[in-house]
Amino acid sequence: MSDSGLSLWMTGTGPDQDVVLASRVRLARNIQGYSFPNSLPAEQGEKLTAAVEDAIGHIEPSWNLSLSRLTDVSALDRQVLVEKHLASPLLVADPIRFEGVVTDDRESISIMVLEEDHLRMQVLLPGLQLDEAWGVVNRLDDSLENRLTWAFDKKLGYLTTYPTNLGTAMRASVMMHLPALVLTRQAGPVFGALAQMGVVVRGLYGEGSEGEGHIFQISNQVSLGRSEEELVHGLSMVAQQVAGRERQARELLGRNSESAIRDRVGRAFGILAYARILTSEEAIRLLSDVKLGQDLTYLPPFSSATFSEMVSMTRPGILQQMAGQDLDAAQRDMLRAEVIQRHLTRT
Amino acid sequence: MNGGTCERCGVEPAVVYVAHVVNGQKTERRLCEACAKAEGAWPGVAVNWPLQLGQLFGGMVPGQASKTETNLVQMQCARCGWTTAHLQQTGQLGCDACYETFGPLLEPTLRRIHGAVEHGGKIPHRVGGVLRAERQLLQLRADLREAIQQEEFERAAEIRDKIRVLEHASMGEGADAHE
Ligand SMILES: [Zn+2]
Ligand SMILES: [Zn+2]
Repeated sequence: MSDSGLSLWMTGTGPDQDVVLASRVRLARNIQGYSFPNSLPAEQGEKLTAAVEDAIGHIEPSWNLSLSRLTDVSALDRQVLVEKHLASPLLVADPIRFEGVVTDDRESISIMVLEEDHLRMQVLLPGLQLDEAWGVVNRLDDSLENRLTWAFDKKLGYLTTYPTNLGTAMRASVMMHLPALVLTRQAGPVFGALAQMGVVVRGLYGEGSEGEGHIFQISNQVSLGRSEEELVHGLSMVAQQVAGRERQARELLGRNSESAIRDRVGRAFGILAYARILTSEEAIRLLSDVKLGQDLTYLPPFSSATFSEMVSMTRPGILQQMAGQDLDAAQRDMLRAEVIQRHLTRT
Repeated sequence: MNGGTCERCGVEPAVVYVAHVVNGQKTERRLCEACAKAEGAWPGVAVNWPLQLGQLFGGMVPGQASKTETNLVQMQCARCGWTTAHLQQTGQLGCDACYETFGPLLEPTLRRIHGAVEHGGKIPHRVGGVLRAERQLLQLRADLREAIQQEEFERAAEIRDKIRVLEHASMGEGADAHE
């Protein structure tokens, strides 16, 4: 695990990044001969994690992977893993000795060990790069297979804890910033149409979270019956179409409601520039408005930071990790305002 | 915002309550107009969709037509001890061998979610040698039929040769193959 700084998907650049913040492809894999995590006895869990450790130890060094056992990771660092989308809240809550997370030095790869499946490996890249992410996670899967035997059925494909993930056991997703679709009230109908196509829409932090900062995760629901390439390509097309709709909506806002939008984003900028205390909810909402203003060229870009980076830096865990110490809520709210101001360009 | 936001899109205000009853247990979802229409729940039509994974598998076990659990036909995985009740409560299975026991029960659900019941993606290297050949053969046979239909007999002959080579190879590999 990289001990400081931010992940590649936040700081890097990629195609269509004005709308698509990041792309992720995740594969679920279970190891033959072990029960699924929901009914795995402790001594088996220990053995399984040792086998994974061995596989990681024998993988080509260029992957730069290392496994951390969750019981060795502090509560703050576990929270940071969730905020960086490297682990799920489910995995990091109440850690047990044999649960773990594997990451690479750039934090574009993570493998959750003994979450709902034995392994859930993901590749997370900035912008719209689903094909690239699939390419990397596919090679990682091949490399791990040198030492581990996957539970696989000729008819059903990769066998998973939830039968709903059978087949490719793959979930591809894109994190999209869609302020104009929300403001023009098109988000509901667009998401409804996506649901009809077997595409799932969630908030920034997954199940149940709402579209904080107008950020949504869009992913495939179907995993069985089609190839990984088809599914990834299909979702890429969906992401491009949604991005196209979002760009049209931004243009429309600029054309039909320029004064109102300039007012809205200007107010957001003003608060961010002068506030001394900011909660994370307020910060993400205002950052989203400022980003819209930047996309419409009403506001100057952040100085040396992407929108994803700005949003990430205001999360409670990452903020404390950057400060190098535990902070209470009041201290965090002050530091958050300070950090944001450092990256605003005044005209 | 006084009615809360739609539980489906998370954006529009919720205006419809959709109630869903499974085994006497009622669940409610609040939706916006567009989402309710998309779900076929406008105006006021009750819809039947998976609210939770556990409920997804409700009602598919033979003999479980009515509401009570006493009618439930219990099955159990010989390896890990997982039962139909576990499956219904959690929507999960307990081990890879569970799929032999519960596999047939899952088909209607798989068909509903994925529109398919057979894997069409990656095949692992370790257990996959024979499978890869099998899938390649299937593809070649389909190509052959097409070539013959289109009266491309030269191409058909080429494909036939490829099939022969592959059939030979897979017979040799079959001896130490898995499954
Ligand atoms: Zn809705
Ligand atoms: Zn089992």
